[in-house]
Amino acid sequence: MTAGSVAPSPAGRGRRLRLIIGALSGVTILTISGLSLLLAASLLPRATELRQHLQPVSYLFGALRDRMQLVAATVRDARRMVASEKQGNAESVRRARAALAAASSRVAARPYSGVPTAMRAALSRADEDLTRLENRVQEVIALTELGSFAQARARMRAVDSLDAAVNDDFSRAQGAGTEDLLARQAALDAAAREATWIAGALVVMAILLPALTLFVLQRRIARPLGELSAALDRVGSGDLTVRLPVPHQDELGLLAEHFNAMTAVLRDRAEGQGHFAATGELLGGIAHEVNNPLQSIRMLAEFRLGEPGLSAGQRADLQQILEQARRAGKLLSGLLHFVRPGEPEVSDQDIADLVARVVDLLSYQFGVDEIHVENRVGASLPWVRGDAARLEQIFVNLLSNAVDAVRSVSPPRRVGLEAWEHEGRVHIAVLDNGPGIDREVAGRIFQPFVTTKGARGTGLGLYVSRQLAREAGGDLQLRSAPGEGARFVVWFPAAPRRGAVVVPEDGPALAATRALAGLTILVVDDEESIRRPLTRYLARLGATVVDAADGLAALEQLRLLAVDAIVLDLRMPRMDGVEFYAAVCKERPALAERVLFLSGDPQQMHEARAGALPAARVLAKPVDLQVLASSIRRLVGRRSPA
Amino acid sequence: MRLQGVGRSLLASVLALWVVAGCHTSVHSVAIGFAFTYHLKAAIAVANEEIALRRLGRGPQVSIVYDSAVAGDPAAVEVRRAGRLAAVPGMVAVVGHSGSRASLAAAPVYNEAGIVQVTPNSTSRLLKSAGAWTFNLAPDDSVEGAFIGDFVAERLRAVRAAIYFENDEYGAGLRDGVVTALGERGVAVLDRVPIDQTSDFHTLVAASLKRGVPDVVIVAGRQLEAGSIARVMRERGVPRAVVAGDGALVLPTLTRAAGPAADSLYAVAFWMPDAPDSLSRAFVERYRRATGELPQSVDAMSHDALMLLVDAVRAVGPSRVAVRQYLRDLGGSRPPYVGVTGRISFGPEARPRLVMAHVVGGGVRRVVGP
Repeated sequence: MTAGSVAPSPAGRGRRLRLIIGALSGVTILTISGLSLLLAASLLPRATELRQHLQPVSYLFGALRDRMQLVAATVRDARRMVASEKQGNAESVRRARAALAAASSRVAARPYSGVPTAMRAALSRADEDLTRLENRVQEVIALTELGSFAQARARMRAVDSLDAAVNDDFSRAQGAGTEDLLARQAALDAAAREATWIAGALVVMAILLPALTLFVLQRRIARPLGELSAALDRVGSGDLTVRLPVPHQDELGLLAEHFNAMTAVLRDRAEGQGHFAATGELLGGIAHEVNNPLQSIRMLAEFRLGEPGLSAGQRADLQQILEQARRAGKLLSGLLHFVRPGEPEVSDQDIADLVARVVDLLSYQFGVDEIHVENRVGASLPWVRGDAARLEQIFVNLLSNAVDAVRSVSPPRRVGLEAWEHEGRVHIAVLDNGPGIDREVAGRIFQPFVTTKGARGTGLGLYVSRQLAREAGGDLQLRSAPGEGARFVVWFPAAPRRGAVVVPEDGPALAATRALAGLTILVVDDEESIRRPLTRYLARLGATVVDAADGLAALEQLRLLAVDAIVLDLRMPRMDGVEFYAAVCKERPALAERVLFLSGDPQQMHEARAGALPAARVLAKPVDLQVLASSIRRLVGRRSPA
Repeated sequence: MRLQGVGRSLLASVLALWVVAGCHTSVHSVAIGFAFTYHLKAAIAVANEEIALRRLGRGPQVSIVYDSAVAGDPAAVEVRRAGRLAAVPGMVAVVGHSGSRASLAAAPVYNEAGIVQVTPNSTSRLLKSAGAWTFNLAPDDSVEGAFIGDFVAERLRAVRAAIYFENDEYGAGLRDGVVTALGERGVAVLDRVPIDQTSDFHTLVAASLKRGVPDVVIVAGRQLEAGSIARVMRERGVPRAVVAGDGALVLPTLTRAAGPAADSLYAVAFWMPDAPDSLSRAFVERYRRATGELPQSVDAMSHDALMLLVDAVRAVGPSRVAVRQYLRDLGGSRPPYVGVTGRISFGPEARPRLVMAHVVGGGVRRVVGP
């Protein structure tokens, strides 16, 4: 068993495009974020280190500078006091000592560990020398307070010496700080150069990567999608020869392969449908040619049956002839109806009759392949609502599949139809004793292009059948167990029950009466074999019958005679029935309402209905003569002859 | 002189590291640093003896790495010393450094390296904000200042005081603590005089007395300064009680500097060798046996700091984080450590013991405190 007309994609193939896009996105994100991180890693640690380094340095320098300023002012005061050789007044002493007290306050620890070693030694030495300087200045002030100016001058030299030492220490610290800053500036310059390169790379990548992304997207996605769109347009305009290139083994490549497979199937179907349509046309012509002799045979048989004096054997023979002609006509009608469906017409359908027609249609196949068909669809079922042709197609598909399935097994080959009503639904099951359906295929049997028939199948039959069933408000399901034959169940909503087929009011009795007495009927048919027995039959019913072989001859007859009704064939030489009817409508509109149409081609009947012909007055050949007579009688009614 | 001091310090450090650490430490052993002046090395000997006595066989082997300091080393030297200790393999914690200024200079090194620092006798309140790895065993200068203020106002009944202070983190901090406490107790502060070891105490005291004669003199300085000031006051004929902070109680330097005025000296201590409890008696005995001398407050504090860290390592292992958490948990989820100087914890409930000692006959006698 094969499943699907498109080869399944190899593992991973359906993800290649996603992988490419993912890889491209990943590369873009990684590159840009990586470069950004590199930039941050290049600058942030240096900036953080610089900040962490500068904090203690600036604090220590600031604190030392403030202290030095305070102490320097006090040194100047002390120097003035010593130079003046006057005991310092209380205010100047208080001010000087207050400045020293302020200089000696400790509000925070000195963060010496955070500064470079060279700077640390100089700064701590400056701090300690400054402390000693404060103490010595304090002593100088004390000596001036005590009036010991000689000692004060001597102590002032120590102050000057310490002051110079503090300045030296501070200068050394500044020098070390300057060297440190220069070294850090060099490091920062290097970092800035590095950052410039990285930023440049970032800019280049920011330009290149989107361009690369666009290129790849254009090449791998936009272009294939454009080709697909154009191909779809061509398919939409009816060109099924279009094929898409498959340049890459990715998702769009897979899509292109599916597209190509789909168009191939559609092409095959179109060709098949073309053949089908041609067959329908041919069949229509054949039907016309066959229906006419069938009509003739039926009329002759029916006419002869009406004659008295026939033996029982003769009567039985004639009945058999009539029955076989009826069956042949019905079969031909069903065949034509299937191959040349018209526009959908939704109406209540006798599902049992519809199924029986389909079984009849396929009966030839059953016989050839020795298939026993058991149709248990009873006439008591409710009717269903839908288009007859579409409903028939469902059962033709299901029965055709069943036939194909049982062909592969040895006789006995059985195909069955079962029906039941449940909860307002009419269920029809089509089952067979074929090999059944694999579990793997069963899950996707209703998907398009899934077939178990290999190259012979399109994979659309069950898909279309389910769609048609759903259009009719029902559904189609597979309900077969593994190891058994297939069992498909289709259901439709039940329509309100309909009565039995209406039998013509006065059908059987007409043959024995002169039901058409007093009427003048014009029979127009190019077939002598039909025109003659029809004329004789109508005459037997009491009518005055005139005939014509085509429309022109009939028009001449009309100009000469008063006619009550016309029985008109549609397909005729010179002037066909439609043209003739148009002329009658124009010249004798009242008489036009009493024209009955006969046609051996249902398609022609359909076209006629779609045109100006009244559908209710079109009868299909081979027509039942009693039905014809009843129809004429209903048309004419009690009207006086025109 | 400075170069000589630095050189001596460096030489002592190298020798100490080679002798003490080189023989006993390995990559896998646990090291506890000890950064103090040389005379405190006796604390290591006593600690080692106590470790042996306690038979602390469980847990990792702990070795004590000594890095000698010299009093008054510049901050830069203390930073280098801290760097050396932090670089010793297996270093978990350090006891030190010697005094507030040195401890403050070293604290950032240990906090950056993630090494516990326990300062036994540093009182600067600035240490509280030195970092999460720094623990201070002694009360800060505000507590000590309040203690001195109480003693001056209540016991000595002084109403006027003069303060001489060492012009560094220790002295300035204690000065501020004392000034605040005195102000709260109605004691007038007549003068605040910065001093150091080389100060001309005669001149400074004379000038200060000229500004006003105090009932009591308070010295936020060390033994030499406190003794010198007491002596000068006596020589100037103004004998007054001289109350000094904990930094001054180093005998016999204090009494020698004070000379005949020694008996006028009072000094704050965190512990005294006459403490009656059994731990103190045992410590005094071991110390005397090891050194032939009586231990002083800083010896007991250093010993407690060492033994506390040894116990911590034995209890929680060599993880620095675990040792730090052990110290934090004391007094909380763990009971306080019971040391020679009392019950030790580092939470807000910690109540370090303070003692006011009176110098009498070359020795000291407790006058206030447990």
